[in-house]
Parts: sequence; C-alpha cells; structure tokens
Amino acid sequence: MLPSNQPLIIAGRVLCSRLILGTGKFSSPQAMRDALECSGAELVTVALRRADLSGRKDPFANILEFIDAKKYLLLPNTSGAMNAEEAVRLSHLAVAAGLPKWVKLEIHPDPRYLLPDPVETLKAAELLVKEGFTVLPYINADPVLARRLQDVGTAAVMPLGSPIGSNRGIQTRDQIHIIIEQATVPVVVDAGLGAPSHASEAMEMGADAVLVNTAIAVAHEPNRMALAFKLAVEAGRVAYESGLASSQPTASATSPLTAFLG
Amino acid sequence: MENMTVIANGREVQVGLPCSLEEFLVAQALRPRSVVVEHNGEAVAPSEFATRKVKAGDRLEIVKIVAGG
Repeated sequence: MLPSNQPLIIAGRVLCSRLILGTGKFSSPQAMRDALECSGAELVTVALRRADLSGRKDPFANILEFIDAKKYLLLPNTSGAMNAEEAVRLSHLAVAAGLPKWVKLEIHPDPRYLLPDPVETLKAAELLVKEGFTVLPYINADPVLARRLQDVGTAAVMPLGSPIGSNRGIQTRDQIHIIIEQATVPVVVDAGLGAPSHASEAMEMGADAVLVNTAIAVAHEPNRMALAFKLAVEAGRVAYESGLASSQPTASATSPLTAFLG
Repeated sequence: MENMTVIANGREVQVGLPCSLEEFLVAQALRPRSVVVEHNGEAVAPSEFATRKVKAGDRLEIVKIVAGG
C-alpha cells in the first residue's frame, strides 16, 4: 500500500491537497480552469475589483463561471486594500457576494515590492476574527508577527518566500523555519515560489501548504506546470513526514569499507 | 423625470428618480447578478438590490469578483 500524506486542516476544513492556487495572470479563464483541474488544488483564491462602469466588455468578467464552487473552496483576497479599514470592507463585500466567510488578508500599499503592511494586517485580522471570519493573513516572514496573528485567532499564517510574482523562491528560509517551529496554526508559504523545487523546499521544511499563482499562470504550458507543482508539493510533504536525513560536513559510507584485497 | 447625482466608484453619475439599486446597475449596463455593491459603506447582497433605494448623494462602490492570487 502506498503511504498517503496527512490531510491539511484549516479551520476544521479538511483539504487533501496542500497546493493552494491563485487564479490571476492566466491567459484566459479557460486556461485558468484547466490548470486548476491539473493542480489538484481545493482551495482557490479570487480577488475583488471595482466594476468597469464604461460598458466595455471584459473577457474575465464572470470568473466564477469557470470555478466549480462545489469542487473548490473559494478564498477571496483583499488585494488592493491599502489599510485595515479597506480590507475589512472588501471582506464584507466578498460575503455579500455569496463567497465563504474566509479571507486571504493581504494589505500591501507599496506597489513596487507588494510587501504586506504588518500593522494594518494585525489590526484587520483582529477585527475580522471578531466578526467570525476565517482569516489567512499574508505576511512578511516575521516570526513575531506570525505569533501575534495566531494569538488573535487567525486560521493560518502565510509568510512570503520572496515578493509576489518575483519567482525568486524562498529567500526567507531562516525566518520561515522559526515560524514553523512556533506555529499553532498551519503555515502556508505564499508568494515568490517560481519553480516546483521551491514548493518542494517549503514542504520539506515543514510548511503545511504553499500558495502558487504566477509560476503556473505564466508557464508556457500551465497545465503541465500545475501538475509539476502538484507532484513537487506531494514529494516535499512525503519527504517531510518521512523524516529527512540530517546533513553533515564529512562523508558517511553507504557501502562496507572493509578491505578485501589484502 | 427628475435626475439626481450619486457617486459611483468615485465618479459622479446621473440617474433618474426614483431608482432602486437594481435599476441603477441596469442603467450602467451591468448585470445585477455579476456585481456586489457597497451602499454608503454597507455591503449589500444581490438579493436586496431590487428593494434598496438609491438617493441623491449616495456613495456606491460597485465591485465584482475577478481572478487574483
């Protein structure tokens, strides 16, 4: 029998896939839908934006028609919010739109690096948790902030590997190790994972899940890249659960070294 | 028909009175089921669009679900 990975549980919800997918940047909603299928993801992010009042036609207008709400749990993000108040308003709008009372809390006022504002994020998290939201905050890889957030009742913490869309992998390795070590909620490495090996690395480190968007969406073949990330996440998780061998500076023979030629 | 001005997505928009939220959205060429609205700071579910009245000076934020990471 093949060993199966432990499921991921976020706020009581059991998820068999530890790959969370973002839906942005795909060439078409159809391409997004197909890649979603190939990724095996069960948790999928969407965003909210001001509607275009000019009457122009938008090919992405009805994104929800391409995501089967019975199959995927939709996770609205608060991207675009510049502060806690805007993030809370966006969360209310998502609920009014019929989305689950889950929110990927992200507040990044700086457009160059899209680094999350820790003060506003903590403030918004407290408000939203009190209102009964399941809050998954996107944060810099700050162990102190991660702890503060789990203490106010967020359902996970989502530290970045490197800036959103940068594809630079895990540049925050030491901090993520500390966040994982002290976590009482799932740790989801979000942002900057540009290759399946980056996702595998996060999972081998003991992250509970990863969130990937750009690397899959802009791949030449998004479906196959989605599959590659799925396999990488599974491999990394199996490796973590199996117990990785420790590294050491010197060799350790794998074959007997007893002399046989005299 | 009397006209009034509301602020929708940060812009002044002229609409005829009386006007429900649903009628306002249709007048903006939006399908009411495709958007969600914040009316004077309060999120309004689509089921309330037909009965919610729009008044002069109201502030509306009309948003929709889009792709995002």
